[in-house]
Amino acid sequence: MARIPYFDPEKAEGRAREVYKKLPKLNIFRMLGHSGEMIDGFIKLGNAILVHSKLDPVLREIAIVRTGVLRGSTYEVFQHERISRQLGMSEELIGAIHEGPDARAFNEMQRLVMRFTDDIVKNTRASDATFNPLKEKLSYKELQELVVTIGYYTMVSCFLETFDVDIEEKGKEATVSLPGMAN
Amino acid sequence: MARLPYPDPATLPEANARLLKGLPDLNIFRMLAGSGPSFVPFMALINAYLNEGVLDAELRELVILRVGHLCGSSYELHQHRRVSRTLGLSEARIAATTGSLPSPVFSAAENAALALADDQVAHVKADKALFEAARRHLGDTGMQELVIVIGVYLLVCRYLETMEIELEDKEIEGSGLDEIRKSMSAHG
Repeated sequence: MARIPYFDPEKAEGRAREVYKKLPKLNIFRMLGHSGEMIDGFIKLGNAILVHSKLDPVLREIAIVRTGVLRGSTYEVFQHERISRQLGMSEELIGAIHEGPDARAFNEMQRLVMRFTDDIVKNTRASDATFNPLKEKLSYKELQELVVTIGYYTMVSCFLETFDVDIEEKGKEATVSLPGMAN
Repeated sequence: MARLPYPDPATLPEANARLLKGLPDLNIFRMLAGSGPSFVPFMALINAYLNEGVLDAELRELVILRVGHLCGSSYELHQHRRVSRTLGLSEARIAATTGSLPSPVFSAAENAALALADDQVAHVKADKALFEAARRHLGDTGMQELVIVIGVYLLVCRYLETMEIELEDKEIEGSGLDEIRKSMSAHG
């Protein structure tokens, strides 16, 4: 159960009101309304990561779900596994994210992203061993996007866990539509 | 030396180049301008609590310094010690953010916020009793801002350390917060 009551989006004012018009009805967004205008930057940064980034969406979701797994955030993992399935990722691949970087389902690039994510979440600074191979394979912009993505979902997991945001009830799930999804 | 070259402003998307121009001349912003569509909303998010937030500015800076200390980010600590001094925080209070808590140089609200920060950084989900203690001082809006600020600096420290952003040769003047506010309001 959430630690404080969910915000009523009908009561939003200013920039927050505009933001709510476009948001899917997810409990994380209902909770965020208490933050007032901060919701604007919070949502737009998430949107930049999920909608406008150049980084391959499968690599992005691997980084996000892995961050959620390492941080013990069931809500984050639940929502982003749904997104992963809608992007066409197999159950085997999704299971591998829980298992760790050495799982057999990963290709080389996915394994590098797993190692890099583990390193940043646990140690703050990625070591040369996990940073350098990705620097060879991603553009500098994509590499920056990946670091921001891991950091952003580290922040999101704090919010979800500390406010104890509940997974939506069955039948009340909101549909999230992102580039690369089948429908 | 940073792990990636700082992007040439001439090669940046127009919105990023325009925003960067008005910001304080800090290496974190120079590098982040090359992160594409994340740059503008990232600045909007930090401007929201740095310039328009509900938390007491001294309490906020103490929390930011504590997260920087826990993450071991010397760049973050350097910049926010400067911001803290500009806001009038004493050297004793700044120094106490690296010490044991609770500290007599902090108010009850500050000690409660810092205890929550420690627990959240260590365990992701902050303990319920610490949550309720901080909430009594800060209210629901203050709590959301506090939890997001702690989280943002987990992001910032990861970014700074992984990119190996180095300190500027020349220190900027003042806190830099006004430049951030003006740049964001010019950006719309």
